[in-house]
Amino acid sequence: MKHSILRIVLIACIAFTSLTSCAQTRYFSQLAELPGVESVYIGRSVMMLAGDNILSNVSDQVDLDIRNIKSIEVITNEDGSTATVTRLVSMSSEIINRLNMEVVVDQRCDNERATIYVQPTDSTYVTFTKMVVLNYDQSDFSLVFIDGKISNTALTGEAITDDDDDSDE
Amino acid sequence: MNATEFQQRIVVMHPSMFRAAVAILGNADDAADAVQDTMVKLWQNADALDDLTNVQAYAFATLRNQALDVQRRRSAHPAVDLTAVSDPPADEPRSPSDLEVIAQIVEELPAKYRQVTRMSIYQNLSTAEIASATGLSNDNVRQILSRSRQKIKQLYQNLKQ
Amino acid sequence: MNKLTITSSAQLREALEQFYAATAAPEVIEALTDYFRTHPQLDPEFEADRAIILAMADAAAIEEPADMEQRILAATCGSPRRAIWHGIRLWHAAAAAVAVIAVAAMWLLNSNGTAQPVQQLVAKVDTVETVRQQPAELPQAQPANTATAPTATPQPVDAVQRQPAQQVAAAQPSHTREVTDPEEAAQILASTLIRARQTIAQASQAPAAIDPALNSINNSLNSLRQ
Repeated sequence: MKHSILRIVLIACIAFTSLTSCAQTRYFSQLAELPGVESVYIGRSVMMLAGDNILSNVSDQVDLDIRNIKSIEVITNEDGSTATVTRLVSMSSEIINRLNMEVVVDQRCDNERATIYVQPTDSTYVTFTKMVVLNYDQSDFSLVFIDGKISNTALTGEAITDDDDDSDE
Repeated sequence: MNATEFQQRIVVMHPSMFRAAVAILGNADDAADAVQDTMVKLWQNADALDDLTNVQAYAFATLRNQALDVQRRRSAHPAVDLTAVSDPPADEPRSPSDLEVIAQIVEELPAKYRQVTRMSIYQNLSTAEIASATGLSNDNVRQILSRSRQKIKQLYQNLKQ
Repeated sequence: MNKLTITSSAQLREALEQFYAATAAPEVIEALTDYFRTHPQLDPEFEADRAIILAMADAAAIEEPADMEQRILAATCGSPRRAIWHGIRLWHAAAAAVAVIAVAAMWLLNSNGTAQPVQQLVAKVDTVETVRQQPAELPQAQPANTATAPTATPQPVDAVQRQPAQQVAAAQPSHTREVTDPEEAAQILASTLIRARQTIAQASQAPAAIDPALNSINNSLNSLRQ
């Protein structure tokens, strides 16, 4: 009897959760629906487990508690089309503006543009609640959106590369 | 995942995880601590483990990071006893340093190669058993194992030069 | 079964070939192990092979402490903290259900005219714009929170052709892949942070960014003056 009640209660939770704003919001899901666009989504439960798997060389140098990350969305275009890039830039700009995100870095080099947006928690800018890393040129578009608590020290400090050796020698 | 399932699916891996930890750390005491800490972490996240496609790979990845943390702490505090020789098996063992070197190389392999090689070395599984556990074909496992061993040899030779 | 013994270099090479092809039978690997243990002085050519074969044998021979399983069980499944968690799970579920029902009721009451974040985005972008760009033009993004605070999408160079969203939407399958592997998730997060840090580092070292339009105007003026 107790198990039946528990089951009913949990099903009710799931049913109502899917109908309410408690559901995890995918801010850039609309971009994922465009043709020639691929999207990757990482949810909260996987991020919590990923905390044990973060590259050791990154965890040393990045002040980031992965368990504070709610989700990650990655949007990329696969068709090399300028029209797709333009549309993605336009749509992502609108979403970023709507989220009241601020520019941290806006860099242009040749035809490539790299911009980092953050949504600060408060006026001290010590922590952020959202971050977007946007890279695009004529034919390629890449947007990574991180939702969760990020410290500004995750972005500052020495630049680290993929080549860093995580062995201890 | 409840306690019974955790015991049946996760705790049973402790012998192979211990071997992997000793291979990485060269020290039975540190290895036992690393395995125990890993199991505690897995237990704390037991509810989420059901969502994983490959729990075994995740467990070993967690163990690897625990072992690397232990190594890092050890090198940061050289006063810690670095006796790296565990109780020797009955017949004369190779120098532990070669085992540690090769274990480190294994941990640097790409994910698929690393998983298959771990199963071969630490769990002593045959090709057929690895194929059954991973869902790969026998030929695929053989190919992966072959490339892994050749890569390990190449990297070992590079290190020793 | 007769135990295999390696007695010559030719046999050794053949056994190693099988080993690296991953076709060696267990008795071949055992023979290799015995050979390398009993022949400490070897051609340097076989040093790596010996290290690998003996490392594998040593790894397989490692025995853990007899009480390892008890230690693990005591620290995990047998932990009283876990038992308490099981005990209060029913109450947590009930409390969560009440909270969700309350929020749902509030949402239903307030839903007229109040769109959730995703629904707001859908309502706003109700058409799909096809923009024809000049080849040399880089698509322009609207930076957030600039002095002029633009909120509209950038105006295209040429005329805008609009298509009803429904026609486009019908042809678009979802391309979203949900990651379930924590290692892959960690890789993605780490590479994102690496890229962000590199971008910031490059930007901090680069000379102050010059608006390309301003640069172009300056160049034109300079050419006129010459």
